[in-house]
Amino acid sequence: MKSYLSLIPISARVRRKQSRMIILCIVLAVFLVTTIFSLAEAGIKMETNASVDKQGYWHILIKGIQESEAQEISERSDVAASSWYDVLNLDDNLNMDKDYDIEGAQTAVCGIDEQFIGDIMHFFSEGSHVEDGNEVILTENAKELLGVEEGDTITLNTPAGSYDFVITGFRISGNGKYVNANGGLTAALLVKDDQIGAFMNIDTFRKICVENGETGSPQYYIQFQKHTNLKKAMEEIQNQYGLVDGDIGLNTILMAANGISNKEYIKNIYPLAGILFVLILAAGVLMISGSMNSNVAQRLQFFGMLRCIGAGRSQIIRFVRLEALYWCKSAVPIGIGGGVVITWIICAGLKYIVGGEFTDMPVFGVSIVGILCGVVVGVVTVFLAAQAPAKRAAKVSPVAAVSGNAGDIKNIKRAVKAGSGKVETTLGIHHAVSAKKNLLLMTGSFALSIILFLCFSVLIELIGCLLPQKASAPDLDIASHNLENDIDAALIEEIERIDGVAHVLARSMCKDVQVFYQDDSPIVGEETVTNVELISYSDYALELLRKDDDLRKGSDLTTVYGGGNGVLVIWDRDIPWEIGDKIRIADEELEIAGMLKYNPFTNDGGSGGVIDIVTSRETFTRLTGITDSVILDVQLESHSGDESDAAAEEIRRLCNAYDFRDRRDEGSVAGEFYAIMVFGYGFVFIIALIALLNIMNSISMSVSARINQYGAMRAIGMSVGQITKMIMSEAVTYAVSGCIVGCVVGLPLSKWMYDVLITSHFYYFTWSLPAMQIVIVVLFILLSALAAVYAPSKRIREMAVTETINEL
Amino acid sequence: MNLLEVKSICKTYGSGETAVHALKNVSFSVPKGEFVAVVGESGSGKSTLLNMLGALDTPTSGKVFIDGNDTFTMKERELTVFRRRNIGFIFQAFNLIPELTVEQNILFPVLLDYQKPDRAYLEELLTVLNLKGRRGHLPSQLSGGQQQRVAIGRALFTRPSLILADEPTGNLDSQNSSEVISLLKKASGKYEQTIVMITHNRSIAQIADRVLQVSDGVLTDFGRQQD
Repeated sequence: MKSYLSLIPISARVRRKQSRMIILCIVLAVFLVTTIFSLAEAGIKMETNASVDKQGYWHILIKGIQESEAQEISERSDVAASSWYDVLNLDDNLNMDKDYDIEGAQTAVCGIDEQFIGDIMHFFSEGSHVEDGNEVILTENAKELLGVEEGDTITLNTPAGSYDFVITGFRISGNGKYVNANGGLTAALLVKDDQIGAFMNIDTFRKICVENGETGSPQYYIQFQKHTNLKKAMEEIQNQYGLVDGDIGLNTILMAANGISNKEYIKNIYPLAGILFVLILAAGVLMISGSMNSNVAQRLQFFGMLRCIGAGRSQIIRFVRLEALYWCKSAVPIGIGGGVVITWIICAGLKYIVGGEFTDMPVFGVSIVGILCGVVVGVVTVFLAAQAPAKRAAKVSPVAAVSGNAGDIKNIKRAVKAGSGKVETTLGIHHAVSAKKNLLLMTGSFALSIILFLCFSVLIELIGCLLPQKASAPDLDIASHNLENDIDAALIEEIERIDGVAHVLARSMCKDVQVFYQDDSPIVGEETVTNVELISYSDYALELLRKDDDLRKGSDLTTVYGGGNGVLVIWDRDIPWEIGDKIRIADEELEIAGMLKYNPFTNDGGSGGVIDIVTSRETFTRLTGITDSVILDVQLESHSGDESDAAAEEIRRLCNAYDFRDRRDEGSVAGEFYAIMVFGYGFVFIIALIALLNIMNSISMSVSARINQYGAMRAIGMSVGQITKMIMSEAVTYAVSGCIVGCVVGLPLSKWMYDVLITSHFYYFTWSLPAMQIVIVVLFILLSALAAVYAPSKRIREMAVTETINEL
Repeated sequence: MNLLEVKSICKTYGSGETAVHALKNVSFSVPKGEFVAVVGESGSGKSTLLNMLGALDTPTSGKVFIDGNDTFTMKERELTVFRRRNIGFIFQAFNLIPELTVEQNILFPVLLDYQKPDRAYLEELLTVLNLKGRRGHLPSQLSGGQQQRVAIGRALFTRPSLILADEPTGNLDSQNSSEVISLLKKASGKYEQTIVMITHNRSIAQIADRVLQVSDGVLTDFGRQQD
């Protein structure tokens, strides 16, 4: 032994079993941090890679600058690539309403610089270029549509004349979805199946523009060098050229990955992520600190002995700190290893099982940031967590070594209040409430778990809002061209007979239907009139509303089904009715039997001032006389496979007179949803585990501190059962106070998060008391408290009374 | 009639070459109401013997009968209740419950039994122990002698037939020691309780009715002392 600190590894070897819990706590904390950071990095990498593939590799785009200014920007040392981009004959709805065509196919014309190909956008075939004015790159569908290939010459017809071009390449789909009639995901020149996009040199493009009298709306794409201070560079450009906010567009994902965003939504995410990170860190510190306190409490005599034989207080503090760091030696690598492996497993699961958006997920990536964070946070957490136990150990009187009387009798200042309860319960509660600091820590630790749980629950709800999983989701949509009720019942029956079709949900619609109702008008008996949109739902579709939890509280479908006089209203802020109100359409009195939470037919869930009333098909026909439908939602028995494809194809053929939309691909969202849910609940599980370990440590510590007292109590006639009850009542006291504080703090926080994350974007979702979550978490905490009693009471049961008595 | 009967008790710790024989074939009996002192050097086996008498530890062989009950045939739960009702313990380190007042500490064994305490008996004990003025105090507010008197009160309150005291004066000065011993002696006489007390102090042992000596695990009975 070179120094007294050499005792640390020896002591660790001897006390391996006792140190197991503390090592587990450190492993868990490091694991958690490593996993979070590694997954975050993998996620950011995936998103940025996907974004680069689909949206291109650019950071900002500028509108309204001169060519000379663009030239200056391109010469900046922090600019890696830049290019002009402008387009003619393509509006936001993919319409081409001008006379630009190639061999009769409507054509959108696009001007770009050479750097646009390859450097900024990655979806061009090898060898594509537009250096010369007569070179062109076409969208890939031109191959089939025009029967052309590289090297062929094509003629672009414009109102001002024709231009000949040589094809140098094609814009291939790559990872981005090739755009079709349903719209698509790729940026830069989205065209429909029967239209063509032509990329050409920006100078040629400008010439065509001038000759056709077009002005165009040029944008300048900029890709910065790696490690550029993006915020600073952006501000410099903005100030130098006097650009206003509207002149600059950001590549949301790439910029957000660098912590810059102009989107309120993403800006809100950063402080939230920060808060959650701090909460998890705090939970880690509390957990490790608790477990070390427990460890120290069990070794008071040992520290007393060290003090007896001459160790100073600072030496004891150093001893405990270094001992904690010694545990890190094995715990940190295990935690990091576990974190990296679990990240691989999650990434592999996302990539190979979930697929969809996650196919770009890197599997065996090692996140240096994740590992560094694991090491730093692990060691720092342990060091911080070691402070309190170290001081506690240093305070141990040398007398403890002699008398073993660890619990300092002189510290007790308040007597137990004698009540009518059993003595062991009273004592247990007193043990919990008498040590204020400990009570505060324990309450804090329990409360923290509840707060984290409630916060994560909001995040999970957010995922539910972003990626809704609906039983009513159709695989195929068939809609009449002009939203007229012209799909007849015979077609519905025909579709229903096709193999592989599970359900056909037909909807009819009738606009401007007059509704009469009583309001707060001062003239009693006078009715108010308003116009509404009437929509029919089959009984099955109504049932799906209930299944999908799309109905507001208090809704009752029983009077709506099958031609009843109950109707549903799509809720909006300005709806003049409540559930139960009576309305009149034509001569029939109807009752508002329920409300839909939001409008399923609009993107934002709002109704834009229009009142929509949903009725059963029978009621609809009775009120309007209409039997045909405007929209059919077809659900197939499976989303993929030969039978599904065959059914979809047959329905497409049958419905050629209508707009047909195949939405089977959207099923991949379900994969994302479940992946994120698993991820979210995984974290909730780890939080629960932290809570459980906290509780176990704390109870164990409390028992260790009183072990001699319990020995004496057993000697004078207290049964093990009574001691267990005493410890249990102490644990339950901590748990109950933690639950109260956790709910008092966690619920407002949960409401704030809900308002910021959900209500501000989906105004029809409002926060309500998360009763189920509270019941789950409170039950979990109470059960954990009871489970935590098991180990200490087992320890007492197995310990001979004489073991403690003889130490006294 | 003998309240306590010890028959051929042996206690061995470890096995083989490292075996330590703490008690070797110890037998003796104590009649009801007798005050017995057990003396011996440190490590002689006194405390081991007391632990066996109190059924806190089990012997390697032999039997202990308290009031005719074979304590080592009892199950844990039964034994706990038996101990609570029939044996009073007094420890060298007092072992009072720090958060309970003097009165609550004395009542504690009865409260464990979910019984209604005999208030008259409590008053009597507080008077005998000279603790009436301190009944609401916490152990931390008492002197060592007072704390030990509370421990004696606790041991007496269930009216046990046997009181086991392990060096009850070990932490006390001479004046407090003699007070405590005379209290114990008085109690054994007044309430007809049998007391087995371990002590190092020969002069205190002299006060007992009978002295047993343990040396290297072997018990020697010095017989009844003359008053």
